[in-house]
Amino acid sequence: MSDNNIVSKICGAYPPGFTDTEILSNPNFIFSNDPEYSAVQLFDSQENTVFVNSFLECQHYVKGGWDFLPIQRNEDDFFDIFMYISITSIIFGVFIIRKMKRRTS
Amino acid sequence: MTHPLYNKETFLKILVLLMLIIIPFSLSDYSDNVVPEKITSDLKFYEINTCSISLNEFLLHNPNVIYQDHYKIRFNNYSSINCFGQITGIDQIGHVFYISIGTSTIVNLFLQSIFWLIAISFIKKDSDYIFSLSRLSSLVFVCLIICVLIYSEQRYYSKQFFLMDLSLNKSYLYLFIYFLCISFYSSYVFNTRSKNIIYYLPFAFILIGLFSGMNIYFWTVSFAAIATERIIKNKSLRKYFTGVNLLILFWAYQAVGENFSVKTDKIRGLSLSSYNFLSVYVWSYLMVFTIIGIYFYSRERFNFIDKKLLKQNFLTSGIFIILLGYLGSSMPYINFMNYYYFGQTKYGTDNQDIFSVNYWGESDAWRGFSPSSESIGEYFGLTLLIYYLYRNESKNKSLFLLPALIISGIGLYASNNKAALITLTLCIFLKLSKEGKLNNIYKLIGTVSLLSFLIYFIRIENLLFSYEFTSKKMIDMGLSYGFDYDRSSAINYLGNLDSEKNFLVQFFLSIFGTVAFYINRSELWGIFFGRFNPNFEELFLGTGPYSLSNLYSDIDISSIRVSTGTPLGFLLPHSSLLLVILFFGLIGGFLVISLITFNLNRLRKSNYDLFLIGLFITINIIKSDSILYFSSLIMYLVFISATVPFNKNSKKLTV
Repeated sequence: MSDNNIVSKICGAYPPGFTDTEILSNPNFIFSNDPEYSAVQLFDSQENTVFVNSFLECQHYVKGGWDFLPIQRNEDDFFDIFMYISITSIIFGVFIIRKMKRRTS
Repeated sequence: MTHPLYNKETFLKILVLLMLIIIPFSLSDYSDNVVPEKITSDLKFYEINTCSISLNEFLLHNPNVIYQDHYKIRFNNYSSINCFGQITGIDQIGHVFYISIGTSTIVNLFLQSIFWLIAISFIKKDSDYIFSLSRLSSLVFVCLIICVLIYSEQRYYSKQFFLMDLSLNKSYLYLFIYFLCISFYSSYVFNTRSKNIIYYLPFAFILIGLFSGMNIYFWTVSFAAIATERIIKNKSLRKYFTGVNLLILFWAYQAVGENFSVKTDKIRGLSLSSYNFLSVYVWSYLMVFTIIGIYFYSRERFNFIDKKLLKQNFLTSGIFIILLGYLGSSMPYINFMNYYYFGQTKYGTDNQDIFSVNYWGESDAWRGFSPSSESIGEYFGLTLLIYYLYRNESKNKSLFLLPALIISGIGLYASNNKAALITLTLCIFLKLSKEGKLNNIYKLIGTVSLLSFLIYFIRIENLLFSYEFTSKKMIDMGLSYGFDYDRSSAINYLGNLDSEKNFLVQFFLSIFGTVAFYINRSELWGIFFGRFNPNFEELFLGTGPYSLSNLYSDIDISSIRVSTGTPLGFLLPHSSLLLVILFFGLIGGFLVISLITFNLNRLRKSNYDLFLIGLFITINIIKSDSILYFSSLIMYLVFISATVPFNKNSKKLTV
């Protein structure tokens, strides 16, 4: 998924006429609140949390890696665990079947 | 020697099954100090404490929920894996409490598969597992088809997979590996018991095998893999399959630009939820492979099976169907567990009165464990017929026989399936005549009784209507359900037939309409024609197997019943013949009818018992949509494939 898709998924659709601003080059940049934007809670990988109050701020944080939702991460972990269990089971199954076949023949 | 039921392996399997039933619905954080409260109309506690109380923990504090029928335990597949088996909410509507239990489609896949595989593994092994490249390729192929199908049915699956992003390739990698694991073990269990499994065919009405949250049956994977493996191995079969490839491409091409969908409801698993090019393309392959797989599997085995054991299993399964249906109707907990662990397409009925009658004193149909009273009526009718036909297969009469027969009789009566009852009587009468046990007087009495029986069910007052009225009733119903601005091509054509120019069509339509009227199908078949909107090519070649989305979405019809003013709901066509015409067109319908007629005629001389079974099935499915339920489909396909000539000298099984 592209960066823009991730941003849209977490922060909502890009506002019409949205212009991206270079923030990293300006150490004194201050995000202004957008009263029409409903605050979004973001998490990093350590589950630190921040509330963002504008689309620009949200986009900035998401691109900086604050794109985790604890519940999403939890589900992803389960999906991974099931995948590893499945792969191990298949390998184990093939091994056992071959061993049984060798024994019977 | 130890009885097989009491050996160590069986004991272990039973223990695992019990653990699979108890543990998943007992998991929760027991150290969180959240103690379930007694359930009352004040549901604040359960609104606050979601995903903290397991179902079994809740039931320990509210044991009345297990058996009081104003509680309904319902699953919620769209919940976090963390919430599995826990209460995600309780609602009260009127006097009924709906208890929502968090489940997860991914966990269901594994949990249900393991449960079913262990259950099937009780069947005795009859061969070794051959792990070949063609077998592996067929499993990989079927799993790939399923993944593409999920991709093409995203509208349905996005509401089933919690936080699984179906726009990511990674999600399909997960699904592919999950399915590969399940299909690998299914293939092992199935192939090592392939000769014996056919005896347990009647148990398909108990272990229905639909994954909760999925639009795929567990059985589909095994049978589709059998067909794929056979096609990979057999070059001449691949050559014949070219025609099928073209047909599937045609069906998919017809769906280009369309994006219809249907809420699959009780026919989930055998109904495509979305109608678009990709979904029709892959779904058609999956369905064709499944049907071919069942055919290949059963055709070679049926001729060699022990009829006595098959008969006994039909009767035994009938007992369990009634028992589980009744327990489920009176106990919400059993109802929920039945749904989950047997993979039902629809919760069992909550009507505890098996012999209930309606306001006008007519018997209400009781479906019990089954999603359809019609299909379960056919099952019990067939059970009694099989018992009668193969009654001499075993001389020993067990104590179990009489209660089993009574229960099957009760099942048939409760289902209120009059067609099954009449065809059962007809088949027994034909068998008696064939055996020469009836002299001419008895034959006359039998014929008159059967006709009287038929007239009684049709109702004598219905016979007093004019032919003009009865023959047109079906089309009139179709017209009254439709709107002038959006008529289907079928109703437009049939409603405006010029009887002089189209004498033959008018003639057959009148007969069809009259039959529909007498068997109370005018409204349902009329609605079908009101919706049926094929173009010229679709009329002859159909829109693809088990694809109903276009039928239910293309044409707008009245949402209330013309006769009663009540909501129309999801009414199925109630005719497998019409469904075959919808799926495979007039050519497909003609081929199916010809094949069945030809084989029945051949069997009448060579195998009269099988002829009667074929006759029973054929008459019944004309007026029911049982082919939309996997249990019925597999049973009918097994018997129909058994009617196809097969070289009995060939003992070698190729599947």
